[in-house]
Amino acid sequence: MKRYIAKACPITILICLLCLLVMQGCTAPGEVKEHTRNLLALNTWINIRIYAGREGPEIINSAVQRLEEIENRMSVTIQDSDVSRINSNAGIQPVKVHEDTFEVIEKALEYASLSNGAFDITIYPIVQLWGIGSDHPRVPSDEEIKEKLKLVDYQKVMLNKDEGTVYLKEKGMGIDLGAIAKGYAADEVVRVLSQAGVKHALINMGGNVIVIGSKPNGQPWKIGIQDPRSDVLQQHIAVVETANESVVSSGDYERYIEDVYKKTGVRYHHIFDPSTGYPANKGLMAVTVVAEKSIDADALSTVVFVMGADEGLDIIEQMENVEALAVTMDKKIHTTKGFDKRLSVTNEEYEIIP
Amino acid sequence: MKISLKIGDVFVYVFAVVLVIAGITGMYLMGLKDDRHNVVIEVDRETKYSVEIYEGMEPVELYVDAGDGRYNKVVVMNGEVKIEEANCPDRLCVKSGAIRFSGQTIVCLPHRVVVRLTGTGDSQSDVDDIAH
Repeated sequence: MKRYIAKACPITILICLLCLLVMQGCTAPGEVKEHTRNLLALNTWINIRIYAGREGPEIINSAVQRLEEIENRMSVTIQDSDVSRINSNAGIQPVKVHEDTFEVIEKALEYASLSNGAFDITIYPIVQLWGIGSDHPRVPSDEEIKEKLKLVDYQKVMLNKDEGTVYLKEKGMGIDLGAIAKGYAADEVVRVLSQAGVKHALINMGGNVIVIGSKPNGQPWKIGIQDPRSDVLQQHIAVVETANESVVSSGDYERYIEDVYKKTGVRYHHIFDPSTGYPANKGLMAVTVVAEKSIDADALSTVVFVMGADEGLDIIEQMENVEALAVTMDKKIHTTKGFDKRLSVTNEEYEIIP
Repeated sequence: MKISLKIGDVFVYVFAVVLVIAGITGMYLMGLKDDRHNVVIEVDRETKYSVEIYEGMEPVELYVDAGDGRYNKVVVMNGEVKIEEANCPDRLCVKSGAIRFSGQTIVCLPHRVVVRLTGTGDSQSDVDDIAH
């Protein structure tokens, strides 16, 4: 061997060494890069963006698997889900559910009592009556609404922690975890990703955003707040900088009865006020809540939207590490104390009122 | 100094030249990818179309058949893509407007249609995502 090298032309040896160097650059193992996945689950579109090495796709797979578990337990449209079984056994018998489902319902009831019923998962009979977002939405009569409203009362949800059962006291009652399950699922995705060692990630669950860490370059994530009166989505009125937090918006702009809106200008949207059975009407177009846990941000965005800016923001003010903004019909952005400093307005029609 | 070339030396030179050409071609192709995206259209998680999109292209209209008479009309044009028309109940996909940056998505939930921009577009959105 030595003989051959000694005999080889020096320039050749130099070229060989250069080639080796170049090839080494090509194979850099375990380099951290962006991996993304889009999927439809939990009745919504989900985008998972993580920064990881080659194991990235597998990490995402485990997160997706967790999402599917949650969907199979909490979806109101899957026939044998925990929620469907609770609903079909309303007024008949308690139903044993998975601890995930139990935990979410327990949390939902906490928010119900905190908000004095403004947040109420037993709203399902009203949701079905209006059918907003379904193929056949309609404005029901006052009588119909009054009739169904009798079935809406979170205090008639009986939890038995020892048995792990849930029971709805009256026949015809039903629960819908649509205003909280996505938040829970987002937190679970974050848990799975963090356990796998992911340090930077952004998850968007049908508009609910949650991030792990900062951006890979150390900068905070910039999350736009949807313009509630833009003809198109993806236009924002303000930008909030964030790390390790969830940003959730709710509003009257995504799902509403379009035909009726075009004819009368009245926007019958999908967030109901459990005290009236009608879409919440406290002068708000949109609410955004920022919290460490997405389950809190998700539920609280509904709480504030139903209660209105004054009462709603007062409740948020009493909580630690939770911030909120409420956009009123006159395009004023009301915020919790100090939150205005984290916001930059990007649409000059809107004005911040701290 | 006299340099004498042997057959082995020639092999090494040829190999080096091939490597350099391959490297340059690779970088050129990746460079091209930078300002070009693909529009990927999925129905119920299955890819139905993958169309290249670039500045100055002729508009392309695609009728995406979601089964049972349900459709979404996708228009791919001049560096952007949008769903122009659809017979879904909420028409959120039409309201979503146009997307321009890689990673952006338009979704039609009722029809289970996803329109996605892929590729390593060098253009960047001003925010990382939108809460809505």
